[in-house]
Amino acid sequence: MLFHTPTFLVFLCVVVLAFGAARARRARKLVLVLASCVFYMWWSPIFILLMVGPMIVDYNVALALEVSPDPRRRRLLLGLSILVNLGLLAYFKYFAFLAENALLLLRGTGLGVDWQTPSIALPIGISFFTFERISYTVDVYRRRTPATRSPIDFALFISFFPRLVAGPIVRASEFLPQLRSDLPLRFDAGIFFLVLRGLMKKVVVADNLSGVVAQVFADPAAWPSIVIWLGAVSFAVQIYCDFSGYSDMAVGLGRIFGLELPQNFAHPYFARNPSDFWRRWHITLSSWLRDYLYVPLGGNRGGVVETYRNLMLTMLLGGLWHGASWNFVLWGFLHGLALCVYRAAHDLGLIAKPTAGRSIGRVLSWAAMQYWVLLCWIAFRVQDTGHMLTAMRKFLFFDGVTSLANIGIGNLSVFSTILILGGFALLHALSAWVGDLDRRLAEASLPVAFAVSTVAGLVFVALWPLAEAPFIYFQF
Amino acid sequence: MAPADEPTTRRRAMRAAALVLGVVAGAAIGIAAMPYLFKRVPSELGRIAVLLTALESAPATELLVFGNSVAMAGVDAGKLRSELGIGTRIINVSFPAQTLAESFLFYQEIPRATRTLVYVLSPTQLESDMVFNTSVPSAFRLSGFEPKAETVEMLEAAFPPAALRELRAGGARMRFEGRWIVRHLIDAGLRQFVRRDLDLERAASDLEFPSPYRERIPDWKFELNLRSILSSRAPGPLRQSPGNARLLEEMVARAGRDGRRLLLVLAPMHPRFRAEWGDTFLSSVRSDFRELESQGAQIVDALELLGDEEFLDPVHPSRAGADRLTRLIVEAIRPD
Repeated sequence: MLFHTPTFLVFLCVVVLAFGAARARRARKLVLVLASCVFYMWWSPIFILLMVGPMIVDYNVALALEVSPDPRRRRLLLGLSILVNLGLLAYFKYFAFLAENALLLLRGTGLGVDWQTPSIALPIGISFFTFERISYTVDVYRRRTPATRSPIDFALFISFFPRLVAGPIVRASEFLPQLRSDLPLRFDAGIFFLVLRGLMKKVVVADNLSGVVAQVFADPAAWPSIVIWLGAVSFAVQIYCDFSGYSDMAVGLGRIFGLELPQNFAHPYFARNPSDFWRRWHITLSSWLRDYLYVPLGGNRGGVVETYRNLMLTMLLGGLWHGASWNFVLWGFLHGLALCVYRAAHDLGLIAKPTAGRSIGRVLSWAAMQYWVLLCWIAFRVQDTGHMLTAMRKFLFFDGVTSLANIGIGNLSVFSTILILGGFALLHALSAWVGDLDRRLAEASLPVAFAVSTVAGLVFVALWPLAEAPFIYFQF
Repeated sequence: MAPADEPTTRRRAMRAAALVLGVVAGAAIGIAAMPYLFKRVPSELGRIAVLLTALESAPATELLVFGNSVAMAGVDAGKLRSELGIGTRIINVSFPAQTLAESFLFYQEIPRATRTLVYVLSPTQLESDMVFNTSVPSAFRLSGFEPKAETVEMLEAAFPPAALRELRAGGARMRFEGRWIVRHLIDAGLRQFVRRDLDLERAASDLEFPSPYRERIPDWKFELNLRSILSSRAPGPLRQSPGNARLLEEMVARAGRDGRRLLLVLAPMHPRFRAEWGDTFLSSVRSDFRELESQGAQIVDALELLGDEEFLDPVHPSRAGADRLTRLIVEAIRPD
């Protein structure tokens, strides 16, 4: 059930009506839990067990952690929770990948082994809710958040449908306290424009770019460098709009039910260095990796070598979190490399502090960072190693072909792609300079807001994609 | 919620509801405007409207040529008319990437006077499971085309019902399906300023020889295109999709019933494809079409007609190539 489908619209209307009819707070929470179960079961009813089973374990583990003073018992309880959660994630997401690579390795050593690599269906959103559950038990273990005694609250924390399958990854300390206050049913211009912004990003930008991206990276050898560039830029914008569009809609939908979800993006393509990028891109994942992986590994508290090792390990595992494929590991490695190099340059005093007068330096550092980001996106997008290397070679070494007559016009919708990219860049830059446009529009006079809504309706009809496309991050 | 807040909350909700109505109003305007846009702005599929109008306004047309861009670049209907000494118009009803099912949509619009149909078929197109290209059924509908029951019946006999959904869409749905026109407007509109090497106006409106191509593409591009096509199919015999095979048989039978002469022209293949895919491929194509010959179709084998220098790119014949292909068709039609 995708946010931008009529099915979801009907589902949302039913949930809103039920939520409105249930006046008591507890009843409203129950409505949301039931709605979340229906939402999740829409894809595959059986996988609800995957959500409910570990939920029961974590709920009880957290309660036991809270009352237990024995450090050994507490460690065992935490270990049990992590084992259950990571065990399920490992089985569903990585087992086939590991089996396949083990087979290749054993064949490489000359052993005459052979087995059928299992095909395991990936439960949607498993990476997201697994991380949320782990963060909960770890936070209770660290005594940073109290264990909730309400099974309904806990179930809602894990399953709240707007962010169930693709985040934002919510911490218990942010979410659970909200459930202790009233949950007012709200719908205002701010929510409307936030959801509209998300829908625009997904439907008008991301889905319209997906065709060109797929065509370019299906056979990079067939295209000159300039088209590979177009493909890389298009994918960068596609994945940003797809994911941040989902997050915007999730935040907006959460607000309808009186629940605030964290923002996941802060104009990442304005980042001027790797650290800056990771403070702006998929913020809830990068902060999760920092707090539950990088810091426990030692962070920067050890020596120089340990710090770089921790950085690289965090990014490699962050890459692997996206999918069981080597290209995601490479993507994590490239970003880890950039973070290490940036840190080394910083430690050696090679990077000057930005000042107002150094605008050329700022532009250059922005360009260098985004150039690297685009290269990394090629690794992320292209799974086939041969195609990936070809695309990277053409991206890095320009082949000099610039004739517009021969860059694929006819096969690719070049101009509408460029127009969509240009429109996105304009609105994106505007929102970075003057503040989020949805907030500004929410405060505008009704005639102005109505006119913008009407234009949005026209744009939807004109540019609604011809084929339905799921959210990219659903596969993770 | 405190009671005092309720009026404010309600006012805010009403304002948001008004904005939702704004979106709905915008969408309604957009949907209503689709057919108007289709008729007024240039698009790559605008040729379909031109062809349907031409078929309606030329009831005396004796011969029609169907096919994809190979037929556009490879058959000169004007030359065909003069060589055959036909007094009335001959229309080249081809458009880019025309599938067999799309060719068949025109069948119900064919004038009664038309006695000869020439279908130029690229054998590999018959391997594709694609029934209609994206947006083509919508372009037919926006041009005023209404599929007749017999057309739908024959298509349903060959293809799954889901493939015909867009063709049968009605009212607002049909107009909404036409939203591709906006992207075409942008791409086709700007392309004419950039692709000086193409005669796009001719491709959209010429009824006899709508070839947009003017010159051979550069060697590097030629090689890339060749490689891309070669990698898209494994060598081996022709593997027609069951739907296309069925429709082809139906078309032969229907032409026979209607007393029309049907020529199936096997489009010229670049020598590199012939070499790469080998005799197995060519003999399987010929064998499949021999079956159709026995059912009443006349086969014109142009598979090995042209050499490398008679192609503008790996697929489309040059002017010289078109002259040779047209002459071959003339010889096939002309009584001995």
